[in-house]
Amino acid sequence: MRHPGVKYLLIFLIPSSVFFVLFGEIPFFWAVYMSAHHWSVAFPRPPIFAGVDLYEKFMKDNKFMYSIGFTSLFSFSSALLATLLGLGFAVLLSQRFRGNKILKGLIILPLLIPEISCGLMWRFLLHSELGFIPFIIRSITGLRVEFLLGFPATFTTLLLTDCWRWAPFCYLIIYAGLQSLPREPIEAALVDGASDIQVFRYIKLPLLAPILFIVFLLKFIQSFKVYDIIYAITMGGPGYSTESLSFTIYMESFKFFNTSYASAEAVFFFYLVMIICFIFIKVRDKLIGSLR
Amino acid sequence: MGRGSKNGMRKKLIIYPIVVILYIIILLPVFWILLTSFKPTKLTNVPEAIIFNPTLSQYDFVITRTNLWSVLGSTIFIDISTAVLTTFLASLAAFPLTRYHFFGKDSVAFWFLSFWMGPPVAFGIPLFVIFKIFGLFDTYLALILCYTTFNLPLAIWIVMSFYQEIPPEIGEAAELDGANPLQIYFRIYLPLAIPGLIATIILVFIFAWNEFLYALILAGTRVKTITLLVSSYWTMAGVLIGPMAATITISIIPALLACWFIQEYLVRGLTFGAISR
Repeated sequence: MRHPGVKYLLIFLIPSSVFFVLFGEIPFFWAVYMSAHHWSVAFPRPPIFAGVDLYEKFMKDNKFMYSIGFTSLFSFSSALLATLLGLGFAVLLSQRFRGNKILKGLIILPLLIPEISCGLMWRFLLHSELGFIPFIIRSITGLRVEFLLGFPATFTTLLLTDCWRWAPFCYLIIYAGLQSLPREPIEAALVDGASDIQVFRYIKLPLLAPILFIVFLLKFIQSFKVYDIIYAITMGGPGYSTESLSFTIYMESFKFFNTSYASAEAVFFFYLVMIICFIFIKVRDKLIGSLR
Repeated sequence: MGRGSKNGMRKKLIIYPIVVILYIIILLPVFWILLTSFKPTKLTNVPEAIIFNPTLSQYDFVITRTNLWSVLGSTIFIDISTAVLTTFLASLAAFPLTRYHFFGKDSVAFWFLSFWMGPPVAFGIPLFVIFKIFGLFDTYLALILCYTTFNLPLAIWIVMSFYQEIPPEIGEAAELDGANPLQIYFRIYLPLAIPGLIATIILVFIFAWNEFLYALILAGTRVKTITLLVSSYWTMAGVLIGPMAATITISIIPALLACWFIQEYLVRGLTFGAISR
């Protein structure tokens, strides 16, 4: 592995970089520029310099602060639940049973369905009058359940829908991790008469721990940007109780047309995600280092 | 593995009920939407109607009353263009990232990744303004360029995982014979990675097909994608269950077709090198 020479390096990297610069980097700095000016796409007036005013504004904006709280809580719960479910699926599917192969193919189906369709399917399924699940609960217990009314209920519905769609993602990575565990300590323990549960608890789980943490972080980053299922299920409601950061910023920009204010929020949001992303990269590098 | 059959029986008694519940949880929403899409209109909002005369009237409604064909046409055009363009760019960029060491390689990789990790709204708002200025708003090109950019990091990581499977000795032998990097790429890596590149095309197609937020921001009136159509049936004004069910069913067809053979490839890109294979 030697250096390919700057000329060849450029040939290979420039085409992608052009895309990243034109449609990623320039728009981002455009957003930074807009965030320092008072300007709206709906009122084409020349921008007025605002400095950091807009950043100060959202720091005092209760709705935005609430949204940070909501998004953090949602991401944490969702990442935790999806990772645990993924671990469960991975353990289940590494057992031998009839239909194992079919289930392995089927289990990733939710991951490939458009998130918006997924949200609408669950919204329909859980709707108190139109839905099949409340109907079943009603006919068995006689209770009327509302999955889409009031804050804790909507939060839970969003959480479960998100996990239905994304737990397979966690499963895929954890399963790959489980298959790549070193065989020697596991076989040695089995020879010494350890039960399957003991092997899992004392050997596989500790070896798997870094991978679980990475999956948790990846899912956390993904959940932090949640938009589609909120659009499909609650539209941010009731009130703004389920508005995620992506959703609040979208509304600010395209419903209330506060383009530059939304840009300031978006820039802040970007750096928030990047910090988590940076932690992920550091953890990953450490993990890869420890595996070698 | 000389395990007692009693132990095996007990294990099966635990496993099979869980498997059945899992099947139900995965399939229930899909099955229910499929069932609803074949119901006559007066039964679509009646959950107890499980047995009925199946009809195609919902699909008929979607085809005659909405512009389903043109939406499907533009979605497929946008997604195939995105998939091919993205995979080609990724096959180029992944090559030096896999095969060579150079100064700043990790920074380049992190820079690429930041476009996948970064929130779509942060890019969507300024892209909306920029595309408005250049007259690209609400065009095929806007979505193709945007989808390509933001699917590229994932595609690069997937292609890298395929390149890593090619023994480096082949390239080294060619190097000794005086081949330059471009020749190694075109004569060795590209041909050997073709199955992987096809898998990448399929994956990117599905990711582009599922994309919603960018389509919502950058298109919507002249150019409409399938996810936008899906989202248009349940509004503040009311809900058209039947047509929605029919459109959702259409929107999950690629997923149904792909989920059987794509799982192995999915895991490669999604971990971003977190698990070395």
